[in-house]
Amino acid sequence: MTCPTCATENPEVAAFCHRCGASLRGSSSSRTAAYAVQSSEGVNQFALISTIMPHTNRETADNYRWAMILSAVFIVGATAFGLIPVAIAAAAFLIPIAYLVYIYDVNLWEDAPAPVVIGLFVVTGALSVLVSLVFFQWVFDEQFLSFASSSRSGIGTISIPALLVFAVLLPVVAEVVKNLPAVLLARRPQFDDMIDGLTFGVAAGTAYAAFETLVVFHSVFTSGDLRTTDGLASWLVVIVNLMVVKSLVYGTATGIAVAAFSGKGEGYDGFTSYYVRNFAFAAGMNVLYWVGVRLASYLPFGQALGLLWGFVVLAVLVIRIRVMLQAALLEAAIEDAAKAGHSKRETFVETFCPECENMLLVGSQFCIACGTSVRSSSHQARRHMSTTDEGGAA
Amino acid sequence: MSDQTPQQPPVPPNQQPPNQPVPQQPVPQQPVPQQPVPQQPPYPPQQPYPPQQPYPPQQGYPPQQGYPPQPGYAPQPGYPQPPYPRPAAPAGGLFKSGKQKTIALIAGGVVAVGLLGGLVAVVAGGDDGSSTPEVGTVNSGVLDPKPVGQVDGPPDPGTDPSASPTPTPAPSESPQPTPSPEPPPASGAVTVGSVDVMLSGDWALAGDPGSDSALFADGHGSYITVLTGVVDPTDDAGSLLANNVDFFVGGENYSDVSVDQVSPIDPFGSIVSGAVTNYTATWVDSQGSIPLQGAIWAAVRQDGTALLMSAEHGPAGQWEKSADSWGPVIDATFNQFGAS
Repeated sequence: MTCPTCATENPEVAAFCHRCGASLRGSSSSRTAAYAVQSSEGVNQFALISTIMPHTNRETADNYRWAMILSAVFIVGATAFGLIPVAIAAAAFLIPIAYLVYIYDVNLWEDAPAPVVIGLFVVTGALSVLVSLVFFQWVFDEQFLSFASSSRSGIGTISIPALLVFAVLLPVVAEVVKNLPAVLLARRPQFDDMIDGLTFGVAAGTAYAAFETLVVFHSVFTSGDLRTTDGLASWLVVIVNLMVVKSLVYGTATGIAVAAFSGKGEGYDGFTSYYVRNFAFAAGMNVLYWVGVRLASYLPFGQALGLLWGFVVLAVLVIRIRVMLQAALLEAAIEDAAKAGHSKRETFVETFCPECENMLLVGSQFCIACGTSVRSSSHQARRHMSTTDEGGAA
Repeated sequence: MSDQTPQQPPVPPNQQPPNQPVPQQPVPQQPVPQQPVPQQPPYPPQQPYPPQQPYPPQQGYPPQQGYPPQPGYAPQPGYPQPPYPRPAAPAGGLFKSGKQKTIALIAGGVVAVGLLGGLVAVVAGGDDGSSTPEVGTVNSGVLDPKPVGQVDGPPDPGTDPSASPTPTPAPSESPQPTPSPEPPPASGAVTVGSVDVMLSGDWALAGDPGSDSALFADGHGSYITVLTGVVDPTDDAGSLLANNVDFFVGGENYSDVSVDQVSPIDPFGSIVSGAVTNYTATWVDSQGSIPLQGAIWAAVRQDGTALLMSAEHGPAGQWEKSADSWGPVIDATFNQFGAS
């Protein structure tokens, strides 16, 4: 059958066009239901793993899900026993560790040495420590301390300068810092895909969050008390916030900005107006997150309300990434279909879809059975799809 | 999957069934779409299509729902076919790690980092200058209110304090503020309830004061919180302080709260009962945590007016040093309170 979108011939049994990914079964050729990165999910679905780890498939996503659940149980257990230094350190690095394993697992650093990717974590972490020391210790420490005293006196005693510094200025500065190393890495020719940009952005954002957490909670490591016996409910809410919400809000926001830097086609787009808009969106979401957390802290059950607010912000960021990737994958595929010649993003040999294991035709950008994008496959899978031998890329 | 015959879809009449070599002649009857031609990339020229081999059985995946079973596709006329034999899945799968390895790497890494954090806490705890000091001497020697007048004995026990406000006993002499050896530069007084808080130096009101409470800051990490009210003049200031500790160090943001035993302060002036205690705590928030140290004073005047003040400084390691800032305010305010 002929695709109504790109006029490419597809097998009669095809549910999706193998070139542009358009649906061939519905009344409309547009795709609004099946997410091109993981077709078993909808685009507007709050699914964390497939969003921040787009190279995974259903099976491997489950591996990460279980690993994070087990780790979270350990962290919550440590908190319940009052081992706050243990819980803080583990919570800060849960997402970064999972992400490093993910990058190793999908062979993202195959074309670049591992030190490059690890360097992204280290450089971002070093910048995070520097910025955090400037804001929390060296320059604005008095303003931050005002939150402590005003927290018991009501929202009427909130320091507006402190609010502006820590809920507006700091998130914007942090977003710039998080973008720097990720953008440098996204300029490399082998990492010019939007999904690669997203990956480096998430990696940089989570690394920044982890090292910032170490700085702002350093007192728990130097207080001399390994075990805390009271206030554990507050600590539990704070640690869940650090473990999941803060890390992922930072990561997904930066992922959006750096993905926009990479652009949808081959080669990176750079500092275009598209990048500026998405950077502003990322910084704005960070500002919204911290303003909400700060103001909620003056309400009854303020820490828990702040945590809920963080999940709302995170949901918006996750949906934004999915809509962004969906549009980019489909638009780039249509552009490729309109061009003569091969795209490096399509299959060069018959192979299997990593998601549903049905056959991928030659010249495919999408699986005709499940509609999953070839570009969301792991790097070793893509290498396998685009090579005539085990050695080099086509 | 293609070796499962029942799953094969009906074969169009003008196509060869799967698993059969495709003859090159005659030319397939299905019309080849001519437009739009440019969309098709220049694939390698047509080669005899290799016989379809049964696909290897699927491993590890549940049956796919919602999609039609995909057998080997029949060669589409006009559709480019690869010159290569269909490759097998790469050795080791499409990911470097298996389920157990992935879970072990992540969970093991998280546990290792957590234990490292605990080790750092054990080794570095107490060696840092910002570590929380022990709650020490009551009053810290800072609050040293001077009697500002002589009260003629305790309130008359025969008077029912709840019946009507007890008139303030006339002092034997007009209260005269005792001049301090080094009076702090007064920067004004702020009335909280019916009590004047005597500010000096860089101290200023922080935010909007309540009807009976207010927060003051010096801009150098010290904060004074004031709470006023009216109680029974016979109430003990120590009990009053103990009942109001949560106002100063309570709430969900305070953790590791350690409050020293409440100690009495000798009454002076119109103050009939006084008490003080020290505390340490950790302020916890999603954006950070700060070790704090502070002290709370309470005094009850003979007219039933109660004044509670706390001075707090963060980080806790600089508490003693910060006394130069908050000490004069506490002294001046209680002196004024006792003189009224």
